[in-house]
Amino acid sequence: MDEAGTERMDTNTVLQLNSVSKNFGGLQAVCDVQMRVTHGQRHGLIGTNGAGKTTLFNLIAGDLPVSTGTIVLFGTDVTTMPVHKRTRLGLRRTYQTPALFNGLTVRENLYLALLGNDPPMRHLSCWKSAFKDTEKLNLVQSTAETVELSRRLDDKVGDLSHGERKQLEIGMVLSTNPRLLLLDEPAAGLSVHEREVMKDLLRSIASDITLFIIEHDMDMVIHLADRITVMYDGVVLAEGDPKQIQADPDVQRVYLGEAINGTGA
Amino acid sequence: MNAESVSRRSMLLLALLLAAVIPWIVPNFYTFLLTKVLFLSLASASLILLAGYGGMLSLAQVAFYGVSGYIVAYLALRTGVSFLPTVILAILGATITGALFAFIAVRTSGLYFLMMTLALGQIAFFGAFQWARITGGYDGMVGIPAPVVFGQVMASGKAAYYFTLVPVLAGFYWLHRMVRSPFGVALQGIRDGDVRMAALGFNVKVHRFLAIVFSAMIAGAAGVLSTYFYGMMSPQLVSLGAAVTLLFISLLGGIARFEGALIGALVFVLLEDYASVFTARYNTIIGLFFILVVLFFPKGIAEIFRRKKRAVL
Repeated sequence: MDEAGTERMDTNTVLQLNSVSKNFGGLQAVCDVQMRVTHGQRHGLIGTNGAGKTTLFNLIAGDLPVSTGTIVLFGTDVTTMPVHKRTRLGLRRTYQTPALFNGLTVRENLYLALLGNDPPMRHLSCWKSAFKDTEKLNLVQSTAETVELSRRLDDKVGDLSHGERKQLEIGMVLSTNPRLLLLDEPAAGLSVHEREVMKDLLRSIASDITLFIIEHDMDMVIHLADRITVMYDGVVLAEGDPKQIQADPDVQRVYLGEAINGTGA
Repeated sequence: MNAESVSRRSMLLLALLLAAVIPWIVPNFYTFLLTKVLFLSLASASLILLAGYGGMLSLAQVAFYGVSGYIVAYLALRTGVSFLPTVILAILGATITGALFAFIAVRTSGLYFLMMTLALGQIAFFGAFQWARITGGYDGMVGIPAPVVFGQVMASGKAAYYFTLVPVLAGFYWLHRMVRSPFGVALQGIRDGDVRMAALGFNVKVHRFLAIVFSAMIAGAAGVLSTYFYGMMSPQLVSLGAAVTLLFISLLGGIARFEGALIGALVFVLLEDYASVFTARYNTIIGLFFILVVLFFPKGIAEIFRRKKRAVL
Protein backbone atom coordinates (compact mmCIF):
# COMPACT_ATOMS: atom_id res chain seq x y z
CA MET A 1 0.00 0.00 0.00
CA ASP A 2 2.70 2.47 0.95
CA GLU A 3 4.56 1.97 -2.32
CA ALA A 4 1.42 2.79 -4.23
CA GLY A 5 0.96 5.96 -2.18
CA THR A 6 4.35 7.31 -3.14
CA GLU A 7 3.99 6.55 -6.82
CA ARG A 8 5.81 9.21 -8.82
CA MET A 9 3.76 12.04 -10.34
CA ASP A 10 4.56 12.70 -13.95
CA THR A 11 3.62 15.95 -15.65
CA ASN A 12 0.82 14.18 -17.44
CA THR A 13 -1.06 13.56 -14.20
CA VAL A 14 -3.82 16.03 -13.48
CA LEU A 15 -5.22 14.50 -10.34
CA GLN A 16 -3.83 11.92 -8.00
CA LEU A 17 -5.54 10.44 -4.95
CA ASN A 18 -3.28 8.69 -2.44
CA SER A 19 -5.13 6.35 -0.03
CA VAL A 20 -7.98 8.82 0.37
CA SER A 21 -10.58 7.94 3.02
CA LYS A 22 -13.56 9.73 4.48
CA ASN A 23 -15.51 8.71 7.57
CA PHE A 24 -18.77 10.20 8.75
CA GLY A 25 -18.74 9.03 12.34
CA GLY A 26 -18.77 5.25 12.07
CA LEU A 27 -19.69 5.22 8.39
CA GLN A 28 -16.80 4.77 5.98
CA ALA A 29 -18.06 6.61 2.88
CA VAL A 30 -14.79 6.53 0.96
CA CYS A 31 -12.20 3.92 1.82
CA ASP A 32 -8.55 3.98 0.82
CA VAL A 33 -9.10 5.22 -2.73
CA GLN A 34 -6.08 5.24 -4.96
CA MET A 35 -6.41 6.73 -8.40
CA ARG A 36 -4.93 8.88 -11.09
CA VAL A 37 -6.53 11.03 -13.79
CA THR A 38 -4.28 12.04 -16.66
CA HIS A 39 -4.32 15.09 -18.90
CA GLY A 40 -7.07 15.19 -21.52
CA GLN A 41 -8.71 12.03 -20.22
CA ARG A 42 -12.49 11.51 -20.14
CA HIS A 43 -12.62 9.61 -16.92
CA GLY A 44 -15.95 8.09 -15.91
CA LEU A 45 -16.82 7.30 -12.30
CA ILE A 46 -19.68 4.85 -11.87
CA GLY A 47 -21.15 2.88 -9.03
CA THR A 48 -24.40 2.14 -7.23
CA ASN A 49 -26.15 4.67 -5.04
CA GLY A 50 -24.18 5.23 -1.85
CA ALA A 51 -20.95 4.00 -3.41
CA GLY A 52 -19.22 7.25 -2.35
CA LYS A 53 -18.88 8.89 -5.77
CA THR A 54 -20.23 12.30 -4.83
CA THR A 55 -18.36 12.19 -1.51
CA LEU A 56 -15.17 11.60 -3.48
CA PHE A 57 -15.95 14.67 -5.62
CA ASN A 58 -16.57 16.71 -2.48
CA LEU A 59 -13.15 15.64 -1.19
CA ILE A 60 -11.41 16.53 -4.46
CA ALA A 61 -13.15 19.91 -4.71
CA GLY A 62 -12.50 20.66 -1.04
CA ASP A 63 -16.14 20.90 0.04
CA LEU A 64 -15.33 18.21 2.62
CA PRO A 65 -11.99 17.56 4.37
CA VAL A 66 -10.43 14.11 3.93
CA SER A 67 -10.12 11.86 6.99
CA THR A 68 -6.83 10.36 5.82
CA GLY A 69 -4.77 10.36 2.63
CA THR A 70 -3.61 13.11 0.30
CA ILE A 71 -4.93 14.77 -2.85
CA VAL A 72 -2.51 16.08 -5.45
CA LEU A 73 -3.90 18.43 -8.09
CA PHE A 74 -1.72 19.55 -11.01
CA GLY A 75 1.34 18.53 -9.00
CA THR A 76 0.34 20.53 -5.91
CA ASP A 77 -0.70 18.88 -2.67
CA VAL A 78 -4.14 20.43 -2.06
CA THR A 79 -5.25 18.18 0.80
CA THR A 80 -5.84 21.09 3.19
CA MET A 81 -6.36 23.85 0.62
CA PRO A 82 -9.71 25.75 0.77
CA VAL A 83 -12.20 25.46 -2.09
CA HIS A 84 -11.58 28.85 -3.68
CA LYS A 85 -7.82 28.24 -3.90
CA ARG A 86 -8.28 24.84 -5.58
CA THR A 87 -10.58 26.62 -8.03
CA ARG A 88 -7.77 29.05 -8.80
CA LEU A 89 -5.59 26.13 -9.86
CA GLY A 90 -8.11 25.37 -12.63
CA LEU A 91 -10.52 22.95 -10.98
CA ARG A 92 -14.26 23.41 -11.58
CA ARG A 93 -17.21 21.27 -10.62
CA THR A 94 -20.93 20.90 -11.20
CA TYR A 95 -23.45 19.46 -8.79
CA GLN A 96 -26.06 16.70 -9.07
CA THR A 97 -28.74 19.30 -8.45
CA PRO A 98 -27.45 22.41 -10.18
CA ALA A 99 -26.34 24.94 -7.57
CA LEU A 100 -27.07 28.24 -9.27
CA PHE A 101 -27.95 31.74 -8.15
CA ASN A 102 -31.73 31.72 -8.43
CA GLY A 103 -32.28 35.39 -7.64
CA LEU A 104 -30.02 36.47 -10.51
CA THR A 105 -30.40 36.26 -14.28
CA VAL A 106 -28.69 33.81 -16.63
CA ARG A 107 -26.41 36.67 -17.70
CA GLU A 108 -25.46 37.47 -14.12
CA ASN A 109 -24.80 33.82 -13.34
CA LEU A 110 -22.46 33.48 -16.30
CA TYR A 111 -20.87 36.81 -15.41
CA LEU A 112 -20.11 35.59 -11.87
CA ALA A 113 -18.41 32.48 -13.23
CA LEU A 114 -16.07 34.73 -15.23
CA LEU A 115 -15.55 37.20 -12.41
CA GLY A 116 -14.48 34.32 -10.15
CA ASN A 117 -11.53 33.82 -12.47
CA ASP A 118 -10.31 37.40 -12.08
CA PRO A 119 -7.70 38.34 -9.49
CA PRO A 120 -9.40 38.47 -6.05
CA MET A 121 -8.99 42.24 -5.69
CA ARG A 122 -11.28 42.74 -8.68
CA HIS A 123 -14.06 40.84 -6.92
CA LEU A 124 -14.19 43.67 -4.42
CA SER A 125 -14.55 46.58 -6.79
CA CYS A 126 -17.67 48.34 -5.57
CA TRP A 127 -18.05 51.40 -7.75
CA LYS A 128 -17.50 50.46 -11.38
CA SER A 129 -20.58 48.89 -13.00
CA ALA A 130 -20.40 45.18 -13.78
CA PHE A 131 -22.81 45.98 -16.55
CA LYS A 132 -20.16 47.91 -18.51
CA ASP A 133 -17.55 45.16 -18.58
CA THR A 134 -18.04 44.52 -22.31
CA GLU A 135 -15.22 42.00 -22.51
CA LYS A 136 -16.94 39.72 -20.01
CA LEU A 137 -20.41 40.35 -21.37
CA ASN A 138 -19.29 39.35 -24.87
CA LEU A 139 -17.87 36.13 -23.49
CA VAL A 140 -21.14 35.60 -21.58
CA GLN A 141 -23.00 35.99 -24.87
CA SER A 142 -20.88 33.44 -26.71
CA THR A 143 -21.04 30.97 -23.82
CA ALA A 144 -24.82 31.31 -23.76
CA GLU A 145 -24.86 30.42 -27.45
CA THR A 146 -22.68 27.35 -26.85
CA VAL A 147 -25.06 26.02 -24.19
CA GLU A 148 -28.15 27.10 -26.14
CA LEU A 149 -29.35 29.67 -23.65
CA SER A 150 -28.86 32.93 -25.57
CA ARG A 151 -32.60 33.62 -25.58
CA ARG A 152 -32.80 33.22 -21.82
CA LEU A 153 -30.05 35.69 -20.85
CA ASP A 154 -32.36 38.16 -19.09
CA ASP A 155 -34.50 35.58 -17.32
CA LYS A 156 -34.15 34.79 -13.64
CA VAL A 157 -32.43 31.45 -13.16
CA GLY A 158 -35.18 30.45 -10.73
CA ASP A 159 -37.53 30.36 -13.75
CA LEU A 160 -35.44 27.95 -15.88
CA SER A 161 -36.31 24.30 -16.52
CA HIS A 162 -34.18 21.56 -15.02
CA GLY A 163 -32.48 20.88 -18.36
CA GLU A 164 -31.70 24.54 -18.90
CA ARG A 165 -30.23 24.75 -15.42
CA LYS A 166 -27.93 21.82 -16.20
CA GLN A 167 -26.87 23.52 -19.45
CA LEU A 168 -26.24 26.79 -17.64
CA GLU A 169 -24.12 25.05 -15.04
CA ILE A 170 -21.93 23.49 -17.73
CA GLY A 171 -21.68 26.89 -19.42
CA MET A 172 -20.58 28.47 -16.16
CA VAL A 173 -17.74 26.03 -15.63
CA LEU A 174 -16.70 25.94 -19.30
CA SER A 175 -16.42 29.69 -19.76
CA THR A 176 -13.64 29.90 -17.19
CA ASN A 177 -11.11 27.78 -19.15
CA PRO A 178 -10.80 25.08 -16.52
CA ARG A 179 -8.07 22.43 -16.60
CA LEU A 180 -10.08 19.77 -14.79
CA LEU A 181 -13.86 19.51 -14.72
CA LEU A 182 -15.70 17.40 -12.18
CA LEU A 183 -19.18 16.74 -13.57
CA ASP A 184 -21.62 15.15 -11.13
CA GLU A 185 -24.33 13.38 -13.13
CA PRO A 186 -24.68 15.89 -15.96
CA ALA A 187 -27.56 13.92 -17.52
CA ALA A 188 -29.55 13.13 -14.37
CA GLY A 189 -33.22 14.00 -14.65
CA LEU A 190 -33.01 15.18 -18.27
CA SER A 191 -35.59 14.42 -20.95
CA VAL A 192 -34.56 12.38 -23.99
CA HIS A 193 -34.07 15.52 -26.05
CA GLU A 194 -32.17 17.38 -23.32
CA ARG A 195 -29.97 14.33 -22.90
CA GLU A 196 -28.92 14.55 -26.57
CA VAL A 197 -28.17 18.26 -26.18
CA MET A 198 -26.06 17.48 -23.12
CA LYS A 199 -24.22 14.64 -24.86
CA ASP A 200 -23.29 16.90 -27.79
CA LEU A 201 -22.27 19.61 -25.38
CA LEU A 202 -19.96 17.29 -23.45
CA ARG A 203 -18.48 15.88 -26.63
CA SER A 204 -17.72 19.38 -27.88
CA ILE A 205 -15.56 20.22 -24.85
CA ALA A 206 -11.97 20.94 -25.89
CA SER A 207 -9.70 17.93 -25.52
CA ASP A 208 -7.16 19.70 -23.32
CA ILE A 209 -9.80 20.05 -20.61
CA THR A 210 -9.73 16.90 -18.51
CA LEU A 211 -13.16 15.53 -17.59
CA PHE A 212 -13.98 13.45 -14.55
CA ILE A 213 -17.63 12.44 -14.78
CA ILE A 214 -20.05 10.71 -12.44
CA GLU A 215 -22.89 9.36 -14.55
CA HIS A 216 -25.62 6.78 -14.24
CA ASP A 217 -26.52 6.78 -17.92
CA MET A 218 -24.34 3.87 -19.07
CA ASP A 219 -24.85 4.66 -22.70
CA MET A 220 -23.43 8.12 -22.10
CA VAL A 221 -20.47 6.90 -20.04
CA ILE A 222 -19.47 4.25 -22.54
CA HIS A 223 -19.60 6.67 -25.46
CA LEU A 224 -17.88 9.50 -23.67
CA ALA A 225 -15.31 7.96 -21.34
CA ASP A 226 -11.97 6.51 -22.32
CA ARG A 227 -11.36 5.22 -18.82
CA ILE A 228 -13.79 4.14 -16.13
CA THR A 229 -13.47 3.65 -12.40
CA VAL A 230 -16.14 1.63 -10.61
CA MET A 231 -16.85 2.24 -6.93
CA TYR A 232 -18.77 0.03 -4.57
CA ASP A 233 -19.35 0.69 -0.87
CA GLY A 234 -16.61 3.31 -0.72
CA VAL A 235 -13.87 1.23 -2.36
CA VAL A 236 -12.60 1.11 -5.93
CA LEU A 237 -13.87 -2.14 -7.37
CA ALA A 238 -12.32 -1.96 -10.83
CA GLU A 239 -10.65 0.41 -13.24
CA GLY A 240 -10.01 0.13 -16.97
CA ASP A 241 -11.22 1.14 -20.42
CA PRO A 242 -14.94 0.79 -21.20
CA LYS A 243 -14.51 -2.67 -22.77
CA GLN A 244 -12.59 -4.05 -19.81
CA ILE A 245 -15.16 -2.66 -17.42
CA GLN A 246 -18.06 -4.18 -19.33
CA ALA A 247 -16.26 -7.53 -19.31
CA ASP A 248 -15.26 -7.45 -15.64
CA PRO A 249 -17.22 -10.15 -13.75
CA ASP A 250 -17.17 -8.26 -10.41
CA VAL A 251 -18.56 -5.17 -12.06
CA GLN A 252 -21.24 -7.13 -13.86
CA ARG A 253 -22.30 -8.70 -10.62
CA VAL A 254 -22.70 -5.52 -8.58
CA TYR A 255 -23.56 -2.92 -11.12
CA LEU A 256 -23.56 -3.58 -14.82
CA GLY A 257 -25.38 -6.89 -14.96
CA GLU A 258 -28.76 -5.38 -15.23
CA ALA A 259 -27.74 -2.77 -17.78
CA ILE A 260 -26.03 -5.27 -20.07
CA ASN A 261 -28.93 -7.71 -19.96
CA GLY A 262 -31.28 -4.82 -20.47
CA THR A 263 -29.64 -3.75 -23.74
CA GLY A 264 -29.92 -7.33 -24.99
CA ALA A 265 -26.17 -7.66 -25.61
CA MET B 1 -31.80 53.27 -24.10
CA ASN B 2 -35.27 51.74 -24.10
CA ALA B 3 -38.57 53.36 -23.18
CA GLU B 4 -38.65 51.75 -19.75
CA SER B 5 -35.29 53.13 -18.68
CA VAL B 6 -36.21 56.58 -20.06
CA SER B 7 -39.36 56.61 -17.96
CA ARG B 8 -37.40 55.40 -14.92
CA ARG B 9 -34.88 58.14 -15.44
CA SER B 10 -37.52 60.85 -15.71
CA MET B 11 -39.29 59.50 -12.62
CA LEU B 12 -36.01 59.67 -10.74
CA LEU B 13 -35.36 63.26 -11.87
CA LEU B 14 -38.85 64.23 -10.81
CA ALA B 15 -38.37 62.62 -7.41
CA LEU B 16 -35.04 64.42 -6.92
CA LEU B 17 -36.59 67.74 -7.92
CA LEU B 18 -39.43 67.15 -5.50
CA ALA B 19 -36.99 66.25 -2.73
CA ALA B 20 -35.11 69.49 -3.41
CA VAL B 21 -38.11 71.84 -3.25
CA ILE B 22 -40.50 70.11 -0.87
CA PRO B 23 -39.54 72.09 2.28
CA TRP B 24 -40.76 75.23 0.47
CA ILE B 25 -44.13 73.62 -0.32
CA VAL B 26 -45.19 71.73 2.79
CA PRO B 27 -45.59 73.13 6.35
CA ASN B 28 -42.51 73.08 8.57
CA PHE B 29 -43.87 70.19 10.58
CA TYR B 30 -43.79 67.95 7.51
CA THR B 31 -40.27 69.07 6.71
CA PHE B 32 -39.40 67.86 10.19
CA LEU B 33 -41.07 64.49 9.54
CA LEU B 34 -39.41 64.13 6.15
CA THR B 35 -35.99 64.75 7.68
CA LYS B 36 -36.69 61.85 10.01
CA VAL B 37 -37.76 59.75 7.01
CA LEU B 38 -34.44 60.51 5.33
CA PHE B 39 -32.07 59.28 8.02
CA LEU B 40 -34.31 56.35 8.95
CA SER B 41 -34.33 55.26 5.32
CA LEU B 42 -30.53 55.39 5.21
CA ALA B 43 -30.38 53.21 8.32
CA SER B 44 -32.90 50.84 6.75
CA ALA B 45 -30.87 50.77 3.52
CA SER B 46 -27.82 49.66 5.51
CA LEU B 47 -29.90 46.72 6.74
CA ILE B 48 -31.25 45.99 3.25
CA LEU B 49 -27.69 45.83 1.90
CA LEU B 50 -26.93 43.08 4.40
CA ALA B 51 -30.25 41.24 4.48
CA GLY B 52 -31.74 41.77 1.01
CA TYR B 53 -28.57 41.66 -1.07
CA GLY B 54 -26.26 39.72 1.24
CA GLY B 55 -28.68 37.28 2.87
CA MET B 56 -27.50 38.31 6.35
CA LEU B 57 -30.38 39.44 8.52
CA SER B 58 -29.04 41.76 11.21
CA LEU B 59 -30.22 43.28 14.48
CA ALA B 60 -26.86 44.98 14.97
CA GLN B 61 -27.42 48.05 12.81
CA VAL B 62 -28.47 50.06 15.88
CA ALA B 63 -25.09 49.28 17.45
CA PHE B 64 -23.25 50.93 14.55
CA TYR B 65 -25.79 53.73 14.58
CA GLY B 66 -25.26 54.12 18.32
CA VAL B 67 -21.46 54.11 18.26
CA SER B 68 -21.35 56.99 15.79
CA GLY B 69 -24.21 58.77 17.56
CA TYR B 70 -22.43 58.65 20.91
CA ILE B 71 -19.14 59.75 19.38
CA VAL B 72 -20.90 62.81 17.89
CA ALA B 73 -22.61 63.55 21.20
CA TYR B 74 -19.41 63.17 23.21
CA LEU B 75 -17.20 65.22 20.91
CA ALA B 76 -19.79 67.96 20.45
CA LEU B 77 -20.61 68.33 24.15
CA ARG B 78 -17.35 67.55 25.96
CA THR B 79 -14.62 68.63 23.54
CA GLY B 80 -13.94 71.45 21.14
CA VAL B 81 -13.58 69.20 18.09
CA SER B 82 -15.17 70.88 15.09
CA PHE B 83 -17.84 69.51 12.79
CA LEU B 84 -15.91 67.76 10.03
CA PRO B 85 -13.46 65.80 12.23
CA THR B 86 -16.37 64.89 14.49
CA VAL B 87 -18.26 63.32 11.61
CA ILE B 88 -15.19 61.54 10.30
CA LEU B 89 -14.33 60.10 13.73
CA ALA B 90 -17.95 59.04 14.30
CA ILE B 91 -18.24 57.15 11.02
CA LEU B 92 -14.77 55.71 11.54
CA GLY B 93 -15.88 54.47 14.97
CA ALA B 94 -18.93 52.74 13.50
CA THR B 95 -16.83 51.24 10.70
CA ILE B 96 -14.22 49.86 13.10
CA THR B 97 -16.98 48.42 15.28
CA GLY B 98 -18.37 46.81 12.14
CA ALA B 99 -14.97 45.39 11.20
CA LEU B 100 -14.35 43.91 14.67
CA PHE B 101 -17.83 42.41 14.70
CA ALA B 102 -17.54 41.11 11.13
CA PHE B 103 -14.22 39.44 11.93
CA ILE B 104 -16.08 37.11 14.30
CA ALA B 105 -19.48 37.01 12.61
CA VAL B 106 -18.41 35.89 9.10
CA ARG B 107 -17.79 32.46 10.55
CA THR B 108 -21.54 32.05 11.03
CA SER B 109 -24.59 32.35 8.80
CA GLY B 110 -28.38 32.21 8.95
CA LEU B 111 -29.93 32.11 12.40
CA TYR B 112 -26.55 31.96 14.12
CA PHE B 113 -25.54 35.16 12.38
CA LEU B 114 -28.79 36.76 13.51
CA MET B 115 -28.05 35.71 17.10
CA MET B 116 -24.56 37.24 16.88
CA THR B 117 -26.05 40.53 15.67
CA LEU B 118 -28.57 40.42 18.50
CA ALA B 119 -25.71 39.95 20.95
CA LEU B 120 -23.82 42.91 19.53
CA GLY B 121 -26.94 45.09 19.64
CA GLN B 122 -27.46 44.18 23.30
CA ILE B 123 -23.80 44.84 24.14
CA ALA B 124 -24.20 48.31 22.62
CA PHE B 125 -27.42 48.92 24.55
CA PHE B 126 -26.05 47.86 27.94
CA GLY B 127 -22.78 49.59 27.20
CA ALA B 128 -24.67 52.81 26.63
CA PHE B 129 -26.49 52.28 29.92
CA GLN B 130 -23.55 51.30 32.10
CA TRP B 131 -20.73 53.45 30.80
CA ALA B 132 -22.45 56.54 32.17
CA ARG B 133 -19.27 58.59 32.50
CA ILE B 134 -19.03 58.71 28.71
CA THR B 135 -22.60 58.10 27.53
CA GLY B 136 -24.65 59.83 30.21
CA GLY B 137 -26.27 56.50 31.12
CA TYR B 138 -30.06 56.36 31.24
CA ASP B 139 -30.49 60.08 30.61
CA GLY B 140 -28.27 60.02 27.58
CA MET B 141 -26.66 63.23 26.32
CA VAL B 142 -28.81 66.21 25.50
CA GLY B 143 -28.29 69.69 24.13
CA ILE B 144 -26.00 68.82 21.24
CA PRO B 145 -25.60 72.07 19.29
CA ALA B 146 -26.66 72.20 15.63
CA PRO B 147 -23.74 71.52 13.29
CA VAL B 148 -21.94 74.41 11.61
CA VAL B 149 -21.21 73.69 7.95
CA PHE B 150 -19.30 76.26 5.86
CA GLY B 151 -20.01 78.84 8.56
CA GLN B 152 -23.77 78.18 8.42
CA VAL B 153 -25.61 76.92 11.51
CA MET B 154 -27.92 74.08 10.43
CA ALA B 155 -30.54 74.97 13.02
CA SER B 156 -33.79 75.71 11.18
CA GLY B 157 -36.12 72.99 9.92
CA LYS B 158 -35.16 73.63 6.30
CA ALA B 159 -31.43 73.71 7.03
CA ALA B 160 -31.69 70.44 8.96
CA TYR B 161 -33.58 68.92 6.04
CA TYR B 162 -30.92 69.80 3.49
CA PHE B 163 -28.15 68.90 5.92
CA THR B 164 -29.70 65.41 6.04
CA LEU B 165 -30.78 65.17 2.41
CA VAL B 166 -27.33 65.56 0.85
CA PRO B 167 -25.54 62.74 2.70
CA VAL B 168 -28.58 60.46 2.41
CA LEU B 169 -28.66 60.94 -1.36
CA ALA B 170 -24.91 60.32 -1.52
CA GLY B 171 -25.37 57.15 0.54
CA PHE B 172 -28.16 55.85 -1.68
CA TYR B 173 -26.15 56.64 -4.80
CA TRP B 174 -23.19 54.66 -3.50
CA LEU B 175 -25.45 51.72 -2.56
CA HIS B 176 -27.07 51.87 -5.99
CA ARG B 177 -23.65 51.65 -7.65
CA MET B 178 -22.45 49.02 -5.21
CA VAL B 179 -25.14 46.45 -5.98
CA ARG B 180 -24.42 46.77 -9.70
CA SER B 181 -20.66 46.51 -9.25
CA PRO B 182 -18.68 43.26 -9.35
CA PHE B 183 -18.73 43.28 -5.54
CA GLY B 184 -22.51 43.71 -5.42
CA VAL B 185 -23.36 41.06 -8.01
CA ALA B 186 -21.03 38.66 -6.22
CA LEU B 187 -22.67 39.52 -2.88
CA GLN B 188 -26.04 38.52 -4.33
CA GLY B 189 -24.43 35.34 -5.63
CA ILE B 190 -23.30 34.57 -2.08
CA ARG B 191 -26.84 35.22 -0.84
CA ASP B 192 -28.15 32.59 -3.30
CA GLY B 193 -25.38 30.03 -2.84
CA ASP B 194 -22.24 30.56 -0.79
CA VAL B 195 -20.80 27.08 -1.40
CA ARG B 196 -21.19 27.56 -5.12
CA MET B 197 -19.51 30.97 -5.01
CA ALA B 198 -16.48 29.44 -3.29
CA ALA B 199 -16.40 26.82 -6.05
CA LEU B 200 -16.23 29.66 -8.58
CA GLY B 201 -13.15 31.10 -6.88
CA PHE B 202 -14.65 33.72 -4.56
CA ASN B 203 -13.48 34.22 -1.02
CA VAL B 204 -16.91 34.26 0.61
CA LYS B 205 -15.65 35.34 4.04
CA VAL B 206 -13.84 38.39 2.69
CA HIS B 207 -16.98 39.33 0.77
CA ARG B 208 -19.22 39.01 3.81
CA PHE B 209 -16.70 40.88 5.92
CA LEU B 210 -16.67 43.81 3.54
CA ALA B 211 -20.46 43.86 3.22
CA ILE B 212 -20.78 44.12 7.01
CA VAL B 213 -18.16 46.87 7.14
CA PHE B 214 -19.90 48.90 4.39
CA SER B 215 -23.22 48.38 6.08
CA ALA B 216 -21.78 49.55 9.43
CA MET B 217 -20.34 52.61 7.72
CA ILE B 218 -23.74 53.55 6.29
CA ALA B 219 -25.57 52.82 9.53
CA GLY B 220 -22.94 54.99 11.21
CA ALA B 221 -23.67 57.86 8.83
CA ALA B 222 -27.38 57.52 9.65
CA GLY B 223 -26.47 57.64 13.35
CA VAL B 224 -24.59 60.92 12.88
CA LEU B 225 -27.57 62.47 11.09
CA SER B 226 -30.01 61.22 13.71
CA THR B 227 -27.94 62.61 16.60
CA TYR B 228 -27.68 66.07 15.03
CA PHE B 229 -31.39 65.95 14.18
CA TYR B 230 -32.62 65.13 17.69
CA GLY B 231 -29.83 67.11 19.37
CA MET B 232 -29.50 64.20 21.75
CA MET B 233 -28.41 60.58 22.09
CA SER B 234 -29.88 58.03 24.49
CA PRO B 235 -29.80 54.27 25.05
CA GLN B 236 -33.38 54.14 23.73
CA LEU B 237 -32.02 54.66 20.20
CA VAL B 238 -29.75 51.61 20.58
CA SER B 239 -32.32 49.32 22.22
CA LEU B 240 -33.74 46.07 20.93
CA GLY B 241 -36.95 48.03 20.28
CA ALA B 242 -35.05 50.34 17.95
CA ALA B 243 -33.49 47.35 16.17
CA VAL B 244 -36.91 45.80 15.66
CA THR B 245 -38.34 49.11 14.42
CA LEU B 246 -35.61 49.24 11.81
CA LEU B 247 -36.35 45.68 10.74
CA PHE B 248 -40.05 46.57 10.65
CA ILE B 249 -39.43 49.61 8.42
CA SER B 250 -37.36 47.51 6.02
CA LEU B 251 -39.91 44.70 5.83
CA LEU B 252 -42.77 47.16 5.43
CA GLY B 253 -41.15 48.80 2.42
CA GLY B 254 -39.61 45.62 1.05
CA ILE B 255 -36.30 44.23 2.22
CA ALA B 256 -35.19 42.97 -1.21
CA ARG B 257 -34.33 46.35 -2.71
CA PHE B 258 -33.30 49.84 -1.62
CA GLU B 259 -36.57 51.48 -2.72
CA GLY B 260 -38.09 49.58 0.18
CA ALA B 261 -36.06 51.63 2.66
CA LEU B 262 -37.51 54.96 1.49
CA ILE B 263 -41.06 53.68 1.19
CA GLY B 264 -40.90 51.86 4.51
CA ALA B 265 -39.50 54.87 6.38
CA LEU B 266 -42.04 57.23 4.80
CA VAL B 267 -45.02 55.01 5.61
CA PHE B 268 -43.74 54.31 9.12
CA VAL B 269 -43.13 57.96 10.04
CA LEU B 270 -46.47 59.15 8.65
CA LEU B 271 -48.34 56.25 10.22
CA GLU B 272 -46.70 56.84 13.59
CA ASP B 273 -47.56 60.52 13.42
CA TYR B 274 -51.21 60.09 12.37
CA ALA B 275 -51.89 57.17 14.68
CA SER B 276 -50.42 58.94 17.70
CA VAL B 277 -52.89 61.80 17.21
CA PHE B 278 -55.80 59.40 17.74
CA THR B 279 -54.50 57.13 20.43
CA ALA B 280 -51.62 56.52 22.76
CA ARG B 281 -51.72 52.90 21.62
CA TYR B 282 -50.50 53.85 18.19
CA ASN B 283 -48.17 50.86 18.08
CA THR B 284 -51.25 48.62 17.90
CA ILE B 285 -52.42 50.46 14.79
CA ILE B 286 -48.96 50.21 13.24
CA GLY B 287 -48.93 46.50 14.05
CA LEU B 288 -52.33 45.92 12.41
CA PHE B 289 -51.18 47.80 9.36
CA PHE B 290 -48.07 45.63 9.22
CA ILE B 291 -50.17 42.47 9.31
CA LEU B 292 -52.22 43.75 6.38
CA VAL B 293 -49.09 44.52 4.38
CA VAL B 294 -47.62 41.10 5.10
CA LEU B 295 -50.88 39.41 4.08
CA PHE B 296 -51.36 41.27 0.81
CA PHE B 297 -47.83 42.34 -0.17
CA PRO B 298 -45.46 39.87 1.46
CA LYS B 299 -42.53 41.41 -0.39
CA GLY B 300 -43.31 44.87 1.01
CA ILE B 301 -45.08 47.94 -0.27
CA ALA B 302 -42.40 48.57 -2.90
CA GLU B 303 -43.73 45.50 -4.71
CA ILE B 304 -46.86 47.44 -5.71
CA PHE B 305 -44.74 49.72 -7.86
CA ARG B 306 -42.92 46.89 -9.56
CA ARG B 307 -44.92 45.29 -12.33
CA LYS B 308 -42.10 43.26 -13.78
CA LYS B 309 -39.05 41.63 -12.28
CA ARG B 310 -35.99 43.57 -13.29
CA ALA B 311 -32.47 42.33 -13.50
CA VAL B 312 -29.47 44.15 -12.12
CA LEU B 313 -27.43 43.69 -15.30
